[in-house]
Amino acid sequence: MRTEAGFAIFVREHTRALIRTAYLITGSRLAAEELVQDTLVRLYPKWHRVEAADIPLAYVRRALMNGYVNQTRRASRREFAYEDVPDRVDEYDAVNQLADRDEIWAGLRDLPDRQRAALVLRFFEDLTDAESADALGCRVGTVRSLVSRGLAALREQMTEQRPPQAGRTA
Amino acid sequence: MNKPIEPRPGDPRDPVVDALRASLTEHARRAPTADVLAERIIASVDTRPPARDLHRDRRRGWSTWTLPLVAAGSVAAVVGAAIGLAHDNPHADKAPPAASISVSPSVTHPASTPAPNPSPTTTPSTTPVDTSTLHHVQILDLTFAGADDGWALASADCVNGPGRCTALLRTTNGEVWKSMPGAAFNVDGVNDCADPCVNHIRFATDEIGYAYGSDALWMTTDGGLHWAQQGGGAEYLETLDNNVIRVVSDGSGCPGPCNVRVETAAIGATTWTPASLGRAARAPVYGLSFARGGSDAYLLFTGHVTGGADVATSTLYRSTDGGRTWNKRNEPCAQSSQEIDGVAVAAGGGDRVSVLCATRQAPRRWFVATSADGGVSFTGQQGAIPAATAGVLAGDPTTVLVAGGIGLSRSTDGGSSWVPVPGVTGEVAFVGFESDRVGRVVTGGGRTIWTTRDAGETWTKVNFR
Repeated sequence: MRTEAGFAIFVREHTRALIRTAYLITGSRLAAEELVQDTLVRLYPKWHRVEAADIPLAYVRRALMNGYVNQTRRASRREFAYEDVPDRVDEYDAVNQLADRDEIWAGLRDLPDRQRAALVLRFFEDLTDAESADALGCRVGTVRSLVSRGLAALREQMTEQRPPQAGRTA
Repeated sequence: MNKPIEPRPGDPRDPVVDALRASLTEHARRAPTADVLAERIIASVDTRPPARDLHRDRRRGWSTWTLPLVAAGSVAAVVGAAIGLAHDNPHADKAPPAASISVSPSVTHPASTPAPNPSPTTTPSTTPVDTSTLHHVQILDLTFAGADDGWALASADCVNGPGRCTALLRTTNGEVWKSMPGAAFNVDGVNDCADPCVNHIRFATDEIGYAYGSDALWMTTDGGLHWAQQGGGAEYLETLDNNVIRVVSDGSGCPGPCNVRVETAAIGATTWTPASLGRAARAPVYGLSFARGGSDAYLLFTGHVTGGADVATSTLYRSTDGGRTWNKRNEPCAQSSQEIDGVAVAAGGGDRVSVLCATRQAPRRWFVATSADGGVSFTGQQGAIPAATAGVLAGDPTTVLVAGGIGLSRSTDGGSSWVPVPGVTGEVAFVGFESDRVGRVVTGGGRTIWTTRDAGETWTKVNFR
């Protein structure tokens, strides 16, 4: 199979999974699209390596995680671009029902990048510790530590009671 | 994704893990559409030069989809280009540009026939919120100088880079919110709220307003376009009757606020005049609540829970002259076999004031004590408040009382009976009333603003993305 054809098949088949993962770790639709595109475009010149891998998706996921960590380290990296305008916002009633989950989501964003990535791989991608370690390019023990510390931080946040505020609005 | 996972210690029945899985699953549904992106990626490499030149020309491939994206976003952010980016703003490289957030006109239920404690209702919006550039808006505080003339202090995703930025939102019709430039301070969730850190906002007029936190106070005299830092900070700040009152304390070395002081100033003035509260206010206190209503102001201290009997009860102060002088009132919450704390205070006009009381020991029980003589005497209302926790009290004590915490409850009989407000669930982040009829509530992690114009009987809401 020609490289171009194999690349296209892979992209059409796996972009959905990759964009979800990217969105969960970046928290931004635009950043997620950038990360996925950047990763795949970067891999394209050496796509034969991807195809030769035991699990091509794992290979790409590892590249995506590397790209994410490197990207967040490049503090000077700034793309000036606006996000697209959504067609609609719906599920109004779901907003309040999601309050607790949003609290988790907010807490997730406050975690260090690698902790957040480890939690996404573990609890969304359902990867094993070994698979997560492969994706993150670290040892299994490191993954366990990242997950443990991430959960501890979220647990601590959930138990905190932030008092509501009251006051006149005029 | 579909592979079954090995159960590991700590996973099953762990509420944090359950909530995390649910949150990730829910938010994954909000990820960008994959099909269009996939074709863009394929198209970009199809048009790329040979592999040997890829690295050098890598950025060129982005133009095939980045430029339309910028163009589309720029149309939506035209207000930002005209207003948000034209001002000198030290945070302009990251701050959200002006963005419009329009909502459907409020539709409220017609007032029902008056009945004892009628059940409040909510009206879900049917027209979607049309947002543009701001994402994950989290409202921290609201203020209105008129019925539809308001400001919101918030945080949102930065549009020019990763991370969170301070967002100052403005509405002049109650339907469209626009972000403003010039907010040169941090808020919760932005830069770890490093100094200068503010979390509250109050406007006295459509031009003069204050943004404040415990250690920072900023003032604007042009509707929020420009801000100037003032001395000190404020635990509370309220404007009314042509003056402004702020409550200041030293936050270190005490379990709660200590060395509490009250200062007053004319609206827009930069000179503050101290008021005296007497020796009791200098003792460590566990909690503090401040409210203004009519021409009255009330300051409630909760005694230190581990302190001695002399400081363990609550103390209420009242001012009828704009905060310049204060009179100490009696303990508002009737004590029983166990100590009962005053948690929050709400002021109405005409000598009406109410205090939310709570038993100190678990299981905590909440009730309201009301006064019709400016706090000289209180009557405890034993109606059980249907809330898991309570900590907020707002409204006019004789017509509507709202207690918040988890969900919102309403009483129309001074606290004798309570009815949950349907639909307003989750953690209440803010409750405020502009009059005895118009009030606002923030829920949904700061993304939902509820408004009532009939003393809490019906509510409409605005959601931010």
